[in-house]
Amino acid sequence: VKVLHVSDTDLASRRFAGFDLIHDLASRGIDSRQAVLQKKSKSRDVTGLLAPGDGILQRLLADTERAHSLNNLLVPWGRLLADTKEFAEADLVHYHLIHNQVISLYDLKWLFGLKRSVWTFHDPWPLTGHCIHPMGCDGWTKGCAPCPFLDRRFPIAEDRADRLWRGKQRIFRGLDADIVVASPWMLDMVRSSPLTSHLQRVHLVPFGIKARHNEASDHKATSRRRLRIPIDDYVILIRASTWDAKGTRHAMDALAARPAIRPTTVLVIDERGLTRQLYGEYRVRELGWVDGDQLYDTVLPASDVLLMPSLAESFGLLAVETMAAGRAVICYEGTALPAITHAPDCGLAVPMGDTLALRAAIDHLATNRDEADRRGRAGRAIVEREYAHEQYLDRLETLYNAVVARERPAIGGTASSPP
Amino acid sequence: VPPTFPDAKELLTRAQSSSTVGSPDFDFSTPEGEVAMRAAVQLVLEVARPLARRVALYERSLGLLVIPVLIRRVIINRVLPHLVRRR
Repeated sequence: VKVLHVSDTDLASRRFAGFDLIHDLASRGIDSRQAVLQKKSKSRDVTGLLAPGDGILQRLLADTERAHSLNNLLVPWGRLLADTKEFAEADLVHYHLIHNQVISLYDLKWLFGLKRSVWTFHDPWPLTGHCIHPMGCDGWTKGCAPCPFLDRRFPIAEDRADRLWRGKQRIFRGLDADIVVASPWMLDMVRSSPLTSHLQRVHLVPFGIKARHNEASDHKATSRRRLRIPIDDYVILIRASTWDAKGTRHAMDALAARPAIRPTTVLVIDERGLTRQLYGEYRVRELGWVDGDQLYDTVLPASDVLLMPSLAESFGLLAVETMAAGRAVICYEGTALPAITHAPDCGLAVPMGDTLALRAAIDHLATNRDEADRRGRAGRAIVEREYAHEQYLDRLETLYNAVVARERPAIGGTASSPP
Repeated sequence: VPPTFPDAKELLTRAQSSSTVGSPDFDFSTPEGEVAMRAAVQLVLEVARPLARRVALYERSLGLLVIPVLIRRVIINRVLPHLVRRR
């Protein structure tokens, strides 16, 4: 089976948007390639679609779309994709992160007609007018009219969200693709959306993580020495981001609500400079963007608990990685995280927006170390049972074989020469 | 169905008159809107893309033109005074 993975870029989202699958699926007889807008790797298996000068056009189109309240309609890169050798040779095309100005929605319908297609919904964007996450707004179930959140990513100048929603409705009406979601929460959304509730071929395929992550998690002392964290400190890991969906503000409010009940270090990954208000009360270590070996071998083993009060999360890979390292996770209800972390048995979920409850959960685990350890062990067992990498590959392999084996109506014309 | 593209001139006129902020509404979710959008994408590919490439080429060329000026400034402001002082 020849599979072409399509996404916005290759390395940044390598674990879940196709790049790692090129290598991982090869041993199963699946010949994978990737086509991306921004190629960052030197891999020969990855094709970059943007030529010199296209970056300027891409920025111009993004500005134009925002000013004219369009979203993913003017971008022409889908047509370049259809002209590539990799697209022509593929048995099926697996679309990943394509809402970052990668493919025009109307071209998408056309592309789905040319090749057998699988589309992973990495977030609820396909179900909304313009935003990536509705975050408590139920407009997506009723046509997004009116839209009270025009400034949410991807922002639009005027309220034309209902038109964008109806445009998606037109596309989904005749959609010939297999849809993949990674969490039961996303599956519920797809089933509840008027845009997608009629779709029959929706598959739940949770992401998997490699077993090697489990082995490193016991090196707490070494990891803390490396990060210059006192060995007896209570260590809270958070992800800092200016994107409000990640809930950094809520984590800050919870931590600043009252003095720490024992010496505490806050380990901060991703964006720097967002946690300054904690400097007096906590030891704060800002590490910037951390991925791969540094995350698994140093950051996660050094932590006691992950504080992840995301207001929107479609899967929560960081939470699963934390569970694999045998650490507890605290999150909000109302996202994919409670189901992914098996709250309340393993994860600790508190009502959405309640920062005092968040703080109570932090203090509870700080004083009840046995419970924190028990939740950590439970998390590791869950990961081994449900989020093993081999299991993820098994499910994808089964899906790809089924899609390729399925009878499909004859398609007229080719990508570059419409009949 | 592969995209079909109506007359580009008509589409440009339509786009200019109807989809600017504050202008009369243009409903791109209708079948007619879909055709227009597809045509607009084709225009982007055929017209805007070559222009953007030319801009990128000019930017690079301007960059190259600036380099000798910068080198001259470094020689005049940094290297020459140093040599003069040594003498």
